[in-house]
Amino acid sequence: MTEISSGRDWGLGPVSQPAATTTQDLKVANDSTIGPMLWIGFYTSVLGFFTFTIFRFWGRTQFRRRLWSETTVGDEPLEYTGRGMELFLGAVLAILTVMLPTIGSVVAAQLFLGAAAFAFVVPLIYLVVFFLIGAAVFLARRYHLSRTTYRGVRFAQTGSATAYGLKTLGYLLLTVLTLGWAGPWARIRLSRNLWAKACYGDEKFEFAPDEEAKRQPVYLSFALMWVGGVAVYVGLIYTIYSLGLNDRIQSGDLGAIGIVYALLLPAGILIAVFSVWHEAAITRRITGSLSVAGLRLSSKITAWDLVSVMITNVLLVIFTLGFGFMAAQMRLWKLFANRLRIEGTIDFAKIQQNADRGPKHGEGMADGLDIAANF
Amino acid sequence: MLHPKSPPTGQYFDGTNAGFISVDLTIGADGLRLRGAEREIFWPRREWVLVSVIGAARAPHSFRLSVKSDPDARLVVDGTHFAEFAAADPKLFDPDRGTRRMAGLVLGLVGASAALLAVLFFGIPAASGPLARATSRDLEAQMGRNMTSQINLIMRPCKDQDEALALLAPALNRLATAGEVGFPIEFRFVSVGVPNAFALPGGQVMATSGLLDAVGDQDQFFAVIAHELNHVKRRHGMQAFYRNLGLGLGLELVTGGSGVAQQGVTLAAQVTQLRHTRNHEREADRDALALLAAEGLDPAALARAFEAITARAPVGDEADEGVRLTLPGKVRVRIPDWLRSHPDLDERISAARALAKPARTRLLSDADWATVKSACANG
Repeated sequence: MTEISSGRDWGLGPVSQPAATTTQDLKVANDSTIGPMLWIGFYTSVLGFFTFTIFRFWGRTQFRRRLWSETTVGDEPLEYTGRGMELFLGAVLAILTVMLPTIGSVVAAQLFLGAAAFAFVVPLIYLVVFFLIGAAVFLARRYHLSRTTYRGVRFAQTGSATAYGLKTLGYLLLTVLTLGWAGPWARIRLSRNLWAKACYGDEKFEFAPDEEAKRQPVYLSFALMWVGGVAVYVGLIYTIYSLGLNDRIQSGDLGAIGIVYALLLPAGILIAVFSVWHEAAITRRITGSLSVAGLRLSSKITAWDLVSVMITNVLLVIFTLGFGFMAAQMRLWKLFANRLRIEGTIDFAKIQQNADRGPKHGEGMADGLDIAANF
Repeated sequence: MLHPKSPPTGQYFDGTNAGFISVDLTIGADGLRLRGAEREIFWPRREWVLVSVIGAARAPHSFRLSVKSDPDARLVVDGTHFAEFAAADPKLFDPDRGTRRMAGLVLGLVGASAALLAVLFFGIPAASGPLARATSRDLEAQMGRNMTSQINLIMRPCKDQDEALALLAPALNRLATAGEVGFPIEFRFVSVGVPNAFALPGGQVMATSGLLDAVGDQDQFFAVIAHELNHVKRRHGMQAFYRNLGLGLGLELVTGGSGVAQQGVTLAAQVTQLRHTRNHEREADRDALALLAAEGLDPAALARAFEAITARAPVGDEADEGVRLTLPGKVRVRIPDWLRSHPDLDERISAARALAKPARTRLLSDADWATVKSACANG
């Protein structure tokens, strides 16, 4: 036997036995429970209040550590290696380098430009913000993947935040111009853009739909969502005007405002019901397009799965006065994990570590733009 | 040195690939020895990193170790061996270690947040006055004009008000000069039903068509205008700009997300803002009453104006002075002082009434006032 002082010098190389590392079909499961996540959500909110919300970076990290560690792929848990301080530094840097100059420019434009010039500048501001949202999504994902390891090997995201930001902006404009009809196509293209440049170790993900993914009723479900959404919207406006609520609201009648909110609730539920079929279909379409290192992914998620989790999540958040938000997100994650299938054969010993350790800090821009998700 | 009878085993991921090997483990006082695949590795104890503990903190299902010199490497050990590792490095495996570190972090963050809070809630408001006074008047006037042009996209100026403005100009100039406002006043009516008047930075003053409808006579109208002129004089608009910019920007940037904590901090900030707004309103009232008295106008006209505005204002509107809120079922509730944008209306009316003195002069003839009164007749 050779004794060396540290693991890196051990020089094990591919010492594992191939027979032991080749695996057929990986079962994905999450066994998180609500209690611990409610507790994390509760103390993150309470401590957030006393720390000017800064504790959220550490709370989010603890949430992810727990959620990742309770999610297993082939009985082996994921590991989240990010730190609260990295998120905090990311936020500070984003504030200083992007948010402050952007907001400063907007304020300066408001103050020093006349109405005509400012009206011209407003669309530009929106374009910049949508570009920044795209770039922020990319950067957050790069950080996210670099801090996710499985069997000691990191995930990674390659590509350019600027390019992704510009593509997001372009697809968004196209979606607006087509009254939303380019939306599903744009969403799949953007997903492909991200996933085709994502890696597990040195293995790149591939984005190509299999036959089942191609059969998903993405546009049929979108048509139902679109028509249903328009019908609900028109019905809502008609009801507000026919009951004379608009005039009562303008005169400050709080009762009328209450009625409108009471109407918005069923309208929102109806729109959500019209949306879930599409959401399930596009999730199956995107997931069914993914493969990596000989494994093909697919999702068995259904509209009913989404409806039941969404409704109970809304109730969870309401009845916990918002403290249950993280627990609600855990339930959504759990649903996606438990409906995920990974089929094929993989030889783990052939998956080499990714050399990219990712950024030293992360998600700052996403946090600044209020789009940072807990997972 | 510990010598367990049956040495623990583990799964070792070396961090170069995703495969693992099973290893026998020997825990020593100086470190951990891993044996497997006919090789051996030694992890010095001082380099151990407890990456994660799966399951209960004191009786985990499994735990993961790494070493500082090789952060990608992972050793997965069954939780039944937790006690043996804890005996070798009680400090690292102390189940309360995480809680203590978190407590230290929270204390540090609370301290830093208190400093930040002091800067945002007290420092910035305190600095807003000197900053406003240090701002060049030309710059403030330019800002005010730009803000007006943008506001007028939403609040349209009344169509046929030129004659009324021409009639008003001498009276406004007289009040502005007497009040030492320090800015040329640019006044206009806007077509908005809610009775209100407001002053922007740099001498921009607007009154709504609703105010013209609400006030009973020109004394009431000029009392309201005197109040607004003193906002201009004291550069309250500029102060509010700096205060809102600093506090709003600070809060927006510091408190990301939309969680419960953010809502709480934002609410606290709004309450702080309201306190400053009330103070500005008190100052403007006090100066307005003095100005009216000095110009031979009746200060009590301000009280009558408040009553007239309140009678016309939609309930719950700003012009209602935020005093009462009507809930469904016509239930009227009084809004607490600290939640109001303006001081208590009864106090303001009483203060104005206390200085009542018959007017010795009129700023406009009845005919001119009638013309002004119809400035927004065509929308």
